[in-house]
Amino acid sequence: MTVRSRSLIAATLASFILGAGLLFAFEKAVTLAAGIMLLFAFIVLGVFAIASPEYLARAVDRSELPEDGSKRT
Amino acid sequence: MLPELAAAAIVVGLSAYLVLGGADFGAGFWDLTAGGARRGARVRGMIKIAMGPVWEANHVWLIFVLVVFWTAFPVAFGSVTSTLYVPLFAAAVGIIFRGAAFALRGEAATIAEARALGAAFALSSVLVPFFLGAAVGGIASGRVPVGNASGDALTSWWNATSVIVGALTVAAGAHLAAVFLAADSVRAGQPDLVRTFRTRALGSGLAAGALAIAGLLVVREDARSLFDGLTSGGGLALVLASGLAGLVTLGLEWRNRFELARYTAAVAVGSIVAGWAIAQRPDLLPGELTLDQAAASDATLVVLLISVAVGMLVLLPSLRYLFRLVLRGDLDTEFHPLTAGDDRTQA
Amino acid sequence: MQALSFAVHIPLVCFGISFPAMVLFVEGLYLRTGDPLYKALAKRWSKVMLILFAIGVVTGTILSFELGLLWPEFMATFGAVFGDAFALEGFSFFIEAIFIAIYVYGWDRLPRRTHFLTGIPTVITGFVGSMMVIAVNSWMNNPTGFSIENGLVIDVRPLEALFNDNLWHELVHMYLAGYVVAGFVVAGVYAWSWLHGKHDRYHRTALVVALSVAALAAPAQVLVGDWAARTVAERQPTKLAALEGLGPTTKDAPIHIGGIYDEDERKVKSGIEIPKALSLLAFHDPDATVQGLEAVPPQDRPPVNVVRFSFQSMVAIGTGLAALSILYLAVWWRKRRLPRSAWFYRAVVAAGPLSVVALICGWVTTEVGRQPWVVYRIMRTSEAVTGADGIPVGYGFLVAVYLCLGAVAFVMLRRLARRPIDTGEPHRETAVRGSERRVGGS
Repeated sequence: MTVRSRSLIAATLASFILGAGLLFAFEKAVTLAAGIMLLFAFIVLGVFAIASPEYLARAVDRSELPEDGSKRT
Repeated sequence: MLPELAAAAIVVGLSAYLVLGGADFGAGFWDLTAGGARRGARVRGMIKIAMGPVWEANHVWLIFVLVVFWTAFPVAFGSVTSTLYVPLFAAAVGIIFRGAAFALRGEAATIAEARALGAAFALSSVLVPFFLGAAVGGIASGRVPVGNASGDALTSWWNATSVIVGALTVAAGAHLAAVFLAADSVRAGQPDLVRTFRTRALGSGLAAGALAIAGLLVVREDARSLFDGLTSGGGLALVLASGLAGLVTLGLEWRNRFELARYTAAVAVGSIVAGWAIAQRPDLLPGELTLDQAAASDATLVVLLISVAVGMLVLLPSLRYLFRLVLRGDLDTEFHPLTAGDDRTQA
Repeated sequence: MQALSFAVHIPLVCFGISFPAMVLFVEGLYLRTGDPLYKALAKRWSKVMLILFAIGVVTGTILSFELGLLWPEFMATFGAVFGDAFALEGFSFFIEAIFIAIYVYGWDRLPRRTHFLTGIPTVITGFVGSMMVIAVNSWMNNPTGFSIENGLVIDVRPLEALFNDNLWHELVHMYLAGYVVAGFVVAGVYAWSWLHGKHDRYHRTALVVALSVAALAAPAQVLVGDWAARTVAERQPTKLAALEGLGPTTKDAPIHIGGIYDEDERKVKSGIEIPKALSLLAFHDPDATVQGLEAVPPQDRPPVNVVRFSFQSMVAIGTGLAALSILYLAVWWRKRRLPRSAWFYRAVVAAGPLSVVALICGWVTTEVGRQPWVVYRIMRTSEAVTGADGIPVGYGFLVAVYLCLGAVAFVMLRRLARRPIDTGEPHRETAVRGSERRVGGS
């Protein structure tokens, strides 16, 4: 894993935990707003983290093919 | 002042809808009358590529008009929609069919399917402007009273004025479409289609002019105050302007100057809408409600007008960008005659 | 009738909200890597986007017409209060229409970077447009910004009306729903292909992008839903009472899963009781007192069982989607690959339509839960409606129209999906397999 992808994942996680905490635990307008912003950040960062060019460039190998009951190529 | 500005916004929006959306409907008219599958294929192919990028944007003007109307003149809006629900509902259904048919026609796989979708598209393209025009005629001839469904459900839109206004709307749209399509055919390098649309433009232009004159005569009998409004002062000036622009347009079409004809045709149509509005002054619902009586409070109108101004600031440059790209040919797909399942013209 | 048109319109709205961002993400991958596969996928998705948007504009126009046709009293009385939002919404969708057209028709015709940039307004307008519509709905649930004197609406303050306290949770909840629904619907299509042997990079990419968006949005949505429930508890206590079926005002109020609310006995029968859960959900305090249905007279209460059932369906599906998402994310986290189980993919296929069901249930909950009011505690739905006859005829007609439309759209989109993908490379899956069904192949 590259350093960049590691920090991206860390940022994603942090956004979720902070965002969820703020949204869930408090009722003030400013914490709600911050919580929502962080949750949105979580989604955006997460998509970039998962759907990275490296991950998408992989050819499909056996380890990913569905087992039990689906049809094969 | 504020109610007048709001009304002006409606007039501008309605004119834009009539010119741009009307041209789209008119294109549907030519699609309907293009002939059988083989003869009409070239005409239909041209219509498809001309409409492709702009048809949705063209129709949002209608929503704009509705929204400004119900925000600025809510009581009048309620009265209009409750009395004129038949033509408005019919227009709404026509809009559904039309939009869907156009969007999906490209995916037709058999001739039968293409015909069915094409027919749905074309038929609704004629009925929608007729019904909307009839509704306008109903308003203009004072047949919409204030209140919840207080007017007659049938005669409010099925009367002499409404019918002629409806027919005129269809004709005006057809004419605009023919002019636009002729100009588009020039750009696409299809001289036979240029000739085809030129003939249609001249024909429909004359028909529209005849209907307009007939309209004045009908209104003289049916809605005297409207006639008076159209034949004096500002109303008269705009009617004459429209007539003049119409004649100039016919001349330009005759001489194959279609790009210029686009604009003069638009002016002719826009002037009629403005003329109608001036003729009705100061009433919004003739004989029932003046503009000032119908208007919402200043607070609402101010926010509305500011929203419209800000919206236009973003919208007009975007629209200009779209039309510039279209007119420059940057968004043109290749011309193909449109029969069935023949969809290699996808972008 | 309005509800029917709305139910048809709202899934399309989800695509308008979120699909542009998804398409742009894929085009971004193309710009970054130069791989034509991403371009082909983005192009294919943008064509679907255009068709769905077009149908969305049409159904949206119908809704605007219906507002006037069906509710003239509502529009006449309150049009001036909330109408400005629709003006801005109209502009948003106008601009979205313009730029979607430029985007789809401009592929390969505009310079690459310019083309990408023309997609950005569609993302913004998707947000602004939905915000404006939600502003109106939130106002209906929480009417402010005007006064009533002698039965007349006066002293209209439109900005206060529209930027009311209810707006934010409704907006965030719906905006996220857009991503959940579009994400799972698209992912479901590709999960189906995945189960039917389409395992090339193209399908894998499509699946990963769509599923990742959905799987990240769904858990967030559960949290937002909790926030929404808390706000409803505060501002529309009768609606909250109907969500559960709480007759008398109760301390330590429970939630009953399933079961039916009985009007006469004033309680839920044959449900599974979870003690204190409603107080916990509504106020994050197990001992809180929750207002019951009986705090208001019977004619001011909504149809409880409809609201209960749709609320619980929405929550059940939403929770299921979140669980599915966590599974996907966990497998990625630990194994850096896609899940292997065929049942996972079957669940994703189901998740598409189920998320639409949850979406509609959510709207039923909030709209039916607001009854008998169209403007909460100010105007009844019955007072707002048109005096014209013929509504049942119109309704029947509209149902037929929508069924027809839905069928045609489905067939056509399927055909579009079956067309060979334009990667500019020779494709590997050209053979038609004899007995194997070819469905939704891209």
